[in-house]
Parts: sequence; C-alpha cells; structure tokens
Amino acid sequence: MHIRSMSFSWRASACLALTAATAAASATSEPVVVAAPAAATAEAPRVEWNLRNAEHLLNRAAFGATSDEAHAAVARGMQATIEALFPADAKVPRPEILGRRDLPLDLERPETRLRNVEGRREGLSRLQPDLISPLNMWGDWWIERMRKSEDPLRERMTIFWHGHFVSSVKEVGDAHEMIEQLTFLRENALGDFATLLRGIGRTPAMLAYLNNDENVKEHPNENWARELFELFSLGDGNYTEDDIKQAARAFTGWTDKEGRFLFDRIVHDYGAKQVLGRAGALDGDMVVDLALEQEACARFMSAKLLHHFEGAPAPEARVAEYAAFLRANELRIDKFLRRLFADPAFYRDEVVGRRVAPPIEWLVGNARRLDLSAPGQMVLNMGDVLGQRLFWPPSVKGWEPDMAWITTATMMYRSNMAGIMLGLVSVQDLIRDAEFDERSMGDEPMMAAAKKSRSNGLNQLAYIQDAGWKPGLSLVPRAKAALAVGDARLAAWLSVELLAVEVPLDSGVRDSIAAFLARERREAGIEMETALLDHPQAEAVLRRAAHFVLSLPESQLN
Amino acid sequence: MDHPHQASNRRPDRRGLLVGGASIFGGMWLLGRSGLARATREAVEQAKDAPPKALLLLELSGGNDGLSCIVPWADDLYHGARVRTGHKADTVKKIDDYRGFHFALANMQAQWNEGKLAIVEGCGYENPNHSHFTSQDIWHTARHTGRASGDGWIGRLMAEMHPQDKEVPHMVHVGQSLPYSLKSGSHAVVCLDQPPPYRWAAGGDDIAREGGMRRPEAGHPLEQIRSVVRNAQASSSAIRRAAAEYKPRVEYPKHDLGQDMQTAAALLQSRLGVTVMSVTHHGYDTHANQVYRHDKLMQELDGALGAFLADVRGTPSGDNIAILVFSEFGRRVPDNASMGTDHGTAGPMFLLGSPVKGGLHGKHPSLADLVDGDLKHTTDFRRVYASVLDGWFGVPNERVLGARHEPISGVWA
Repeated sequence: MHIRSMSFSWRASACLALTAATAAASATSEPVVVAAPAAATAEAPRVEWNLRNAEHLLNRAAFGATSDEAHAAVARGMQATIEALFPADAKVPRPEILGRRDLPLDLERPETRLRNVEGRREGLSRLQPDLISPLNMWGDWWIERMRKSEDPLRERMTIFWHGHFVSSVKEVGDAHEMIEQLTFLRENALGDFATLLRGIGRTPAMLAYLNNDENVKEHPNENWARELFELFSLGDGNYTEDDIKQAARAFTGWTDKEGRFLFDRIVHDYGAKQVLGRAGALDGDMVVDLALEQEACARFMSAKLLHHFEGAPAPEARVAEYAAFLRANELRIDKFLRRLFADPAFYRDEVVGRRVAPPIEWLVGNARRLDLSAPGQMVLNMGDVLGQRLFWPPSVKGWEPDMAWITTATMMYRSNMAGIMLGLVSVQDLIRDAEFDERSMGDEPMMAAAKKSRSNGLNQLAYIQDAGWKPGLSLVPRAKAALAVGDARLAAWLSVELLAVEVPLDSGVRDSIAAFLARERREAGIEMETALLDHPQAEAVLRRAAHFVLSLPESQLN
Repeated sequence: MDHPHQASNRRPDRRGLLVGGASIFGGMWLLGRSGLARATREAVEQAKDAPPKALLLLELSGGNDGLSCIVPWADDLYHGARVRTGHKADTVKKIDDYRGFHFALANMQAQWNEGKLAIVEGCGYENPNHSHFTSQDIWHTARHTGRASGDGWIGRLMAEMHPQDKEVPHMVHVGQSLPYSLKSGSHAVVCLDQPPPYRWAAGGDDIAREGGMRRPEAGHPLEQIRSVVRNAQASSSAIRRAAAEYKPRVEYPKHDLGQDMQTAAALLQSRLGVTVMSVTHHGYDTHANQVYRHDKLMQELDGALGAFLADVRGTPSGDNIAILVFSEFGRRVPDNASMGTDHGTAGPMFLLGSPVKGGLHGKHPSLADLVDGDLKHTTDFRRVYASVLDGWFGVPNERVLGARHEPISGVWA
C-alpha cells in the first residue's frame, strides 16, 4: 500500500519471529527467576502501551522506528513487541569475507619488531589494504544489518560489547582477528555474561590489544589483568593493586599462534597466587571465574547496562535491584533486557527522549527514517567524523556516552552529515572552506590546493561522493501519501517522520520547521502553500527542510 | 633558538594585521550577532591594552614514563630496573650529574639552557590510583573524588577569572574529545579537531540560529545541547578566520600533535579571548614495545613544542603564553618482559614559555625506596597547579583547588 516496502522489513520479520518465539516459549518454557517475588508482584504497575512508549522501546532496543513501525508496535502490544526483539531463531548469519588469512603475522613478532623496525613498518604499510579491507567488508555487512534491522537488538548489543570489551584495529593490526572477536561478541551478545568474560580474553584481538600475548612468567605484563577487573567486570575500587599483580601471573602463557588461542606452558607461572581473596595455584580461567563470582560484577554490569539503555546513571537502588536479578538469573543478558523493557520505570519521564543518540544509532536511525540506502562505508566514516569510529575505539574504556558526544564541532558535523545524506552538502566544499581559505591562496598555494582533510573520515566521504554517490530519496511521494499539504501539515509530518522522539506540540519546534519551510518554498518561487508538492522544486525544498529537522538539538536525542 | 624548520621568509606584518586588522574584522563580524557577541567584543576591547595571560595545557595521555623522559642516567638502580627499556648513559642529554633529557628532547634541552624550562620532579598524589581513567579524573578535577566533585579545574578557574562573560570561548580544546579539565557547568567551551570544516555547510547558519533558541527547560539535556550550539555558532567564523589568516613563522611537524599545536598557536594569538588552550598527545600507554613507541612520542612532543615556542616567542601575545605539560601517572620502575612498562605513579611536570623561569623543582623520587615497584611521589601535582593559579593568573589557588596548596616558588620569570 505504501511505496516504502523496504522499511517494513523489520515489522515483517518481527511478526514471523513472534510466531516462532511464542512456539519456542511454550516448548522450552525457560523459567525466569524473579529476585524479590513478594515486592515485585504486590502491585505490579503496568506500562501503558501507547505510541510514546512503543517508540521509546524501539529507539533504545532497535535503531528507531518509522512512524509505520511505531504504529504497528502499538497494535501488536508490548509483550509481542519485546518478544520480537529476541528472535527464537538466533542463528547468526556470517558474512562471506574475502581476504587472505596468511598475512604477515611474523611482522608482529618481537624479534622482527626489534631487528628491523623500518622494514616492519614498510611491510605493514604496504600490506595495510589487505589487512584492513576485510574489515571494511564486514563493516558494510554489519551496517546493512543495522539498517535492515532484522535482529536489531543483537546488532546494538554487539556495538555495546565492542565498546565494553574493547579492542582497536589500530593496535591489533589484523582485520581477521577483529572480525573474529566481533563475531564472538555478536553470537553471544544476548547470552550469559560469563561466556563473554571467559571467552574474550582468548580472542587473538584482545590478546594483542592488551599485550597478554607477551605476558610471561618472568616480569609479567599486567595490562589485560588490570582491564579485566577495572573495565570488563568489577569496576575501580572492587579489587586491589595486589589482585592485579597476582592475576597477571595467572594469565602468563595465554597467547595466540596463527590466529588461534594458545596456552604456552613454558612461560606460565604455576606458582601459588592470591586473587580476590582466593589462594592457590590459580590459572587464568579460575581468575575469570573469581571475578564472575564477585557481587561487584553483577552490580557493575547492571549499572552499565542500565546507563546505556536509560541514557543516564541509574539510582543506586535500581542498580541493586537489577544486580540481584542478574545474579539470580545466571548473568543472562537476554533475561535482564526482557525485564528492563517491561519495567514501567524504563518508561518514566526522566528516561524517555532524554538520551543523546550515539553517532551510529543516530546515523542508522536517520537512514531508516529517510528510507535511504546509505552505503555501510558512508555510515562508518560519518561515525568517525562524529566521534564513533567502529573498530577503532578511542581507548580501552570505549566511547564516552551522553553529553560527551556533543561538542561545538560535533553539533556542526551532525548537521553536515545529515546534509550529505540528503545530497545537500559537498564534502569537498566542506574540506576546502572557500570562505576563508581563498584569502590564503595567494600566499600559500600549496595549502590551498590540498583537498585532503586531516580527517580520514571526511576524505573517505569525499571519495564516496566523487565516485558519484547520490541519495536515492523521494520525500515528495511520501508526503503526498500522508496527505501532508500546506506548510503546517508538512512541518508536522517531517517532525513525526524524522525525529526519534515526538516533540511537545507547545514546544514551538513544528512552528519553526513550518517557518523554515515557508521561507524555502518562497525562495523557490512557489507562492501557494498547496502548490508545493506538485512543483518541480518540491523535492529540493523538502530535503532542505529535512536537513533543518535533523540538525535540530531535538534530533540528537532518542 | 636555532630551529631547523625556521621559515626563511619571516612576515613581520602578520602581528600588525592580527592586532589591528583582524580585531576590526572580528568586531564587524561580531556586530551582527547578539548578546554573546557583545561579550566577545568587550573582551576584544579589553584585550587591546595588554595581551591577556594564557595557558596551554598539554596532556600526555596514557601515562608518560617519566624515567624515560628525564632519565636518572647516573643511578645504577635505574639501569638495574630498566633492563629492556633503559636508556644508556651516553645517549642521554645531560642536565646534571644525575639526570638528563631523553635523547630526542633537543628543543627541551635548548629551552633548559635558555632558562625557560621548569621541571618539577616526582609529581603525584596520595593513594595513587593506577587506573588511567580514575587518575585522569583526579588530575582533571584536582580532587581525589574526581568527577563527583563537579567541574574540571580549568572550568573552575574560568568561573573565578571570568564571572561575567561566560559565553566567550575562554576555553578551547583542539582534538576530537574534550578532556574533563575543561568541563564547566557555566562557561562556554569550544572543541574542534581542525578549523576548515568547523562550520555548518549548506545554509546551516539558519539551522544554528534556530537550534540555539527556544524557551529553557531546566535540567533537560536539550538545554545543554542548545548552549553548545550557541557556542559553536559564536565561534565558527572567528576560529576559521584566525586559523586561515595565521602565518606561522616556522614549519610545524606534520603529525597530529604538530598540527594541533599550530592550530593552538593561531587561536591563542588571535583575539578570540582564549585563556586556556588544551591539546592532547595520545599514545603513552606503553605496556609493550616501549622503546620504539616512547622514542617516537618524545620526538613528536619535542618537535611540536620546539616549533610552537619558536613560532610564538617575541610576540606580545606569544610572550604571554605559559605551557603546562602533565600526564596521569608515570610507569612502574621495573620493566616487564614485553619490553614495556606497566602503570606506575609519580612523574615530572613541565612549565615552559617566555613567562617561565627555568630550574629544577620538587625532588626526584628515590629508586631505592619503592612501594610495590612504584615511585613515591615527592610533590603534590596540585602545587604546580597552585603556581599557575597564584603566580600566573593571580587567582588564589584555594578558590579553584578547594584547599590551599603551597605553590612551587621560583617558576615565573
């Protein structure tokens, strides 16, 4: 019935998944342990299932909803909408990745590093395309998965774990190892936390990133042991410096060979250690299990998950409640999230619509709402420009959330990225800055001629545009189908379709969109409001108005 | 100073242009804007008399190995502990019969010889924290409770120095993510990675104006976002103009830090009203393969500092820039088997620039008296902050640091 058949994929698959999920649930009927049954069932408040709350759930658990998807979710009911986020058929498709596995791992061996520093660097830079390009392909596939949103919660949680169990290709230097780690995170994204924590330290990417591949009995390297406790499981203050030193000994010998985990007995320290109050000849697996047993672990992860999904640090009592639930449910992430998504407190005013959308969520959400098939490389490079370069987290702590995404520069860049998506902004022009660079052209011809930016992301986006990419957009038929005629109704339509969070009617946002639209319409020589959608300039006017909407502060929240 | 990259064609007219022409230009541009522009203009007017004092805050992020930076070359314990990553005595640029500069720090040594580099040794704090992030928070807030204590120390300083003109970009960070030092609940902070694309393209100024307006909703994140948009709008043209018109007198190194320092030099000497400029040098977390990585970092740091100092020295505003270099911790005294060093504690801080009086301060921590392989700090880092606050900006340090700290004396010329 609509021209937007693409955007229905999530709903269609969700319905399919729903049927499967109901069948599976009755077959296996896995019990969910409620931490405090008496308190929880006394006056169980219910979530009022309306458009606001359906949109909220899909903003936080998926990559946002088109207005059709939001309405469909309301019609389907809350439980069914939540169930659809956990497809029973969790078989995870793997992309076909080309590229050579037999790449020059020997360049990374300490002997090579020392003996021939120059040669190694040369070798690495020569091989850089081969090393990195499989990751680009994987990235294209991943972004496409996000945009199509057939299993959106899994993709989101993979980003979450990528920012939690951090490795960066900058240090790892090998695309295959990164892909292997991300695949591990993706496959276990909604499973139990213990599997993740036990497995992540064995991925070659992590072994390289935190140098445990060079952790040997004499003079251990404590990089991995420290981050395991501080950032991956317990949080600062829940272990001692001595715990780290002793734990580092337990992980000696954890290394990799030809892309596979290897336990090297010769360099392992078999001596007695004491970690987190337990003494003995502990090995690495035992130390991970000790971390998992700590009460701090469930608390740390609950706090982090609540913060991520609610957009602000959760009150202590709420963290404690969820920590108890997580411990009672074998640290199962899926059970944690099912509970959260059905929790009335998740829909409270302080949570809904007040979270700064991280760049990738914002970009994918925009592409979905615009019904734009933005290439994966485009989204990845825009993420880079906006401060979230997937595969290259800025530090072992991952990306800083909330207002850290918003700086004077990123507010401009967000607008500019939306402008590129809409085909209104030329990256070359952005890089060149004709307004001021022209002045210096006479003095420094070299500078003026250089079209390269310091930003790799901007350069890549320029390549994509230079290669002829144009957005395949048609806003006019959509507006017509929605009967959005006249400035006010068009403004309302744009606001509903393009903003993740409905703006209050008295906020003045729709009025300013309408005013902008009217100005643009008149500048295009169209005097009558009702004549706009049939005018040849209509698409251009609507795109500029869409650019305006996506650049508003209101667009940055979800 | 004999800088290898010294440009042959000096342009003495640049300063004239900046002091006269650019501020008029800036004024014209600013006239078109609203109240916040007025505040900027007032700052510009004030600035005409005497260039304001400024600070360039340079963070070595990841934990700089102090022992490889200022090397205790004459200490046998150093050579015993640094079997794999140590610097041989004959490679070190000697300061005295105990310590010397890393061999790549030629410009730093030149500054030292000119009496323009103050080294404060053994800087740290009680109960050292070995987490990058917790320790950075302590350095950035100057408080042991970190972010729970509120704004960053530079943010607090701005509240003391500029109680009125909160919307002037007194704080600028050149880089992608803002360090917490500059966090302020009340004052504008500008953050940019490079000037040319620091703008709204495709008629975005309309968008910007719209995005900054509308009625306040206290406590809502939209309020904060709108205020960032206003700061962005107010600073976009001025920053791009300042950077585009800037003619550095030396060629800066091409690496990120070099380019960031050039941007910093341009903006500090413009009439934007910058009091504190912040730049970050990344990559100091050298758990493995330290020798190559740290040597390269020292080379970058020295090249960037050397270029900056050669560029700004002798100009009215350039002579009013003090540089403070710090890192969240030093590294463990014994190295590890992967040719690296793990997280440690105390390390040196540096003050450089025309206003600085060179010398050695604090006390080198003893390599014989370690705590679990870590140095005991000899000097609270807040004493160096206190010197900057009291001695350079004339702000009683307890008003920023929460408690009085004894400034390091004798660091100002």
